[in-house]
Amino acid sequence: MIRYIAIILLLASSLWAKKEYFILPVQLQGVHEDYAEKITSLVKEYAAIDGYAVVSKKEDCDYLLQIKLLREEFGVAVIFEKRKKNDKVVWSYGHIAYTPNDFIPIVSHVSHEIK
Amino acid sequence: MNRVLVLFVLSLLLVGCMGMKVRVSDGSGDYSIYKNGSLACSRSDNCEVFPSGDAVYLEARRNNVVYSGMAVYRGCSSYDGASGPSSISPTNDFLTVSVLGTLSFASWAATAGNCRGYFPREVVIPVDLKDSLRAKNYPWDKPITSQSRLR
Repeated sequence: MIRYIAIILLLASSLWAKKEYFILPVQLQGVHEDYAEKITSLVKEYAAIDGYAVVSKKEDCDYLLQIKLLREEFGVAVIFEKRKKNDKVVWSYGHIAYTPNDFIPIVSHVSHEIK
Repeated sequence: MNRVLVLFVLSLLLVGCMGMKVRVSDGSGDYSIYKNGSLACSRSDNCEVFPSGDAVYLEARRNNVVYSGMAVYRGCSSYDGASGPSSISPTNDFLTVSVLGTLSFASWAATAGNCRGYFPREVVIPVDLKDSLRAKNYPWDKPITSQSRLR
């Protein structure tokens, strides 16, 4: 009986455990690094809202988060890649940002998807 | 006359299966159109999707980057040019009228009960040119100044 309870608790704890992300250095192309800081801080804000963690050590994470800001003719392509520790991309999303104000709905959507 | 009526009623019955043409507002054809997250058309210059359910979410993407998206809902009004099932012309053939009337009523009852209506025949996904032009001149390569701070 105790064994079963232990197994259930173990399974339950894994379900309730927060996902932990390590944000890789933002890849920039034609975009100032201030915007990398801006979008990274937004991700951290939304992590607190959506209940996952952003960790400072790569070894402690469950997934890696790669953000790319690539200048295009009209705006900036904001690309998020959720990667396993072996760098395999398991989910990605890209959206055009015409101005930095567009970061907010993009990060909100991504945060909801990866939580 | 009867053939015309039969074709008319068949068109009414099949109207829910009709496709919806999708364009992008900037007129460019090199977007891919996604329907509910799945690729529907590889190009936007000649795209027709076949919506199902009560709503469909369309996105215009280029190189896997979403440029714009919109939800399209099934409305209570009919397609342009498609009249309702009650507009069958009178005829002297009683049997034809009875059969067609029954079919038409069944079709109407299936859709009108919960106000399902039809999807539009054509939609345009808005890619805001004004924003694009503003963005073209946005100083992304410069540091964030107090004027361009987000919050």
